[in-house]
Amino acid sequence: MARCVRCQVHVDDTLSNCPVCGSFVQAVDSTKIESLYPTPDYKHVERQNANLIHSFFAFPLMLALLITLFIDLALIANELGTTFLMTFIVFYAWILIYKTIFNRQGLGYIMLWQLFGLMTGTIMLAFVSENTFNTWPLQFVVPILISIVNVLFFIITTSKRRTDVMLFQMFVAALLGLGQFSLIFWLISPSVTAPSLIAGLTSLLSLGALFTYLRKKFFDYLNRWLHI
Amino acid sequence: MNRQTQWFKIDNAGKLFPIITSRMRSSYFRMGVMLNDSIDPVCLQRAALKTLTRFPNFNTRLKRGLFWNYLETQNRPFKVLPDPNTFGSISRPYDSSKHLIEIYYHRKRISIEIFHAITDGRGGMEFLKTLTLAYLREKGYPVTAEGMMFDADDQVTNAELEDSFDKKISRGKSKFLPTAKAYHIKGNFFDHNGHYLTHVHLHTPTLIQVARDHHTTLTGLLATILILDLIRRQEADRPKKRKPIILSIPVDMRKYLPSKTMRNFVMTINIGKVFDPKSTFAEVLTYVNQQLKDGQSVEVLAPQIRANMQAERMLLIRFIPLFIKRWIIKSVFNRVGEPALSFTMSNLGKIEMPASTLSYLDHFEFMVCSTFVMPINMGIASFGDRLTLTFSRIIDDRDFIQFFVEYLVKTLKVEVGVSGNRWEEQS
Repeated sequence: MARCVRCQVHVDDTLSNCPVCGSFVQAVDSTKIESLYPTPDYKHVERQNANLIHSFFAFPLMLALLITLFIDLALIANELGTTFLMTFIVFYAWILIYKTIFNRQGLGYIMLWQLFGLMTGTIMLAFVSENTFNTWPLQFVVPILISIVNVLFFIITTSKRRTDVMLFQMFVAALLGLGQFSLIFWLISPSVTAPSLIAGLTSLLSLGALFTYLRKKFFDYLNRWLHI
Repeated sequence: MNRQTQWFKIDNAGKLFPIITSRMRSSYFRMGVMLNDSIDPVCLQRAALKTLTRFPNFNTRLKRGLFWNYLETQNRPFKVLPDPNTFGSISRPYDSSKHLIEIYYHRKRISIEIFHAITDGRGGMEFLKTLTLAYLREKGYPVTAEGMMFDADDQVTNAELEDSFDKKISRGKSKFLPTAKAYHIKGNFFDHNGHYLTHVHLHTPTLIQVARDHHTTLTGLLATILILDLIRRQEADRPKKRKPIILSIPVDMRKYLPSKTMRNFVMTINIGKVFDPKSTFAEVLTYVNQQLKDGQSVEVLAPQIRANMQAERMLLIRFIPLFIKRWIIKSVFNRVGEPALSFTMSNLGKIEMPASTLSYLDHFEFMVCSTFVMPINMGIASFGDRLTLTFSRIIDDRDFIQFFVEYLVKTLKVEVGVSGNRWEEQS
């Protein structure tokens, strides 16, 4: 072991500088002597820094929303159309950046968030343009999206790669479908449209399948999710 | 769904870590064992799988519940990895694809990095010891546990998985720790957010003799030098008003309340006050000795644990959804929790290994993660005649460690060996 003259300590043979004071103590041929520690892998750190991008986008998006709300309320009294639109843009941008691009949860997670974003977006846009919820997006676009997601989830979850998370996502998609069906049936439209009926049925089938095969797991999941 | 998914509630101390984890506070700690031969990754992989099966609460991932986080068995395959030398620079405890423990190898060293929510230093060390034994056995060496430690081939017992805070701490008085803002070391943070590790190797019997000569323990001696260093450092910063210098020393509660738990069961003794800048070694030592003597008892530590448990058990707190609770807990911790401490010195104590394994082992190391508030911390591990102190720092500042080492060498006349992880050379 070499000795650091300044600190009076023995320095490990694999180091050229004293780790305490930084003084040069010995020449180390890195091709012959393998270091005690490897060269740090910066890729991890760079990846972590990428997560800062969503924080960078979040601030201007929220600022834009607040400015629009201020213009709508203070300058164009009681007209919230643009604010609705901006809310949707912010919400969708958040889903796109945070929940889709930077997520590490897999296809099911992305699909569910995209479904949620598209549903909210189409309903919001239709409401802004026609000032009612009883519009084509709620009667056609949303139920068709839900039906597609339900079928896709069913296919994914019957594969060997299914996980608890996927089953949970299937459950949430089914609840969304049932919710939409109920909305059409009881609150908005006197007659149920065919796509809503299909969405309701696929959701019921998904829920039934989940409950039959996984009821023990389901209650176990509820137990851990709700523990206090 | 053939694989069985177990889940575990997180104990009282562990609940804090997933919440306070951030870019500058990884909440991981690292332990390493240096062997006398190069590591064989294939044998290590087999040993890791056996050991993870033996300790089910380590083979987990972190999940969010509605009210609290919890641990769930990680069904994805575990892989030992070459050491990336990035301790503390990355922390993604919620990543569902990862385990909350990583096992690394480099040259002759096996290292583990553990998220603090699953266990404390003692639990982590028991895991590392079991892993080392299993590895040596996989290599074909004739080693046995000799009844001194866990064996990877044993079966898990309920006592190892119990929440000892809940079981061992009975009802009684509670007392919150003081929350006055303490002095903190300042410096320029590394861009890469990695920890620069400085290992200080000492001869244990020599240092124990030095401690005895000063009528103190090893912990008392090291704590005194650290406090002297912090006093000097505070004066160098020319403060308008002197702040208390508080040294946080984690205490293994298993010493006082017998428990076999492999989860967190630890409390801290906080030693310190506003010191006179002209305090001498003898004055600080007398104060530290008294504080250590007063602090290391169940009567003092249990009320502090009860205070934390009462806060956790409050009905109002329990039923607040996690996303709101996170914000409250984080705010409280950032205002009155961590700022009340200046430095953490965590001592694992003497590490005992079976006689049959001793010829294959060189030394153990223990590293505590540093944070934005406490940018330098120290971990201590003692094995055989070798005492290894590891400073982990995230600031570009050698001065603090230099004073500490110089004090050992020039004032106490102790022989010191040093090594490091070369982060600074790369920055």
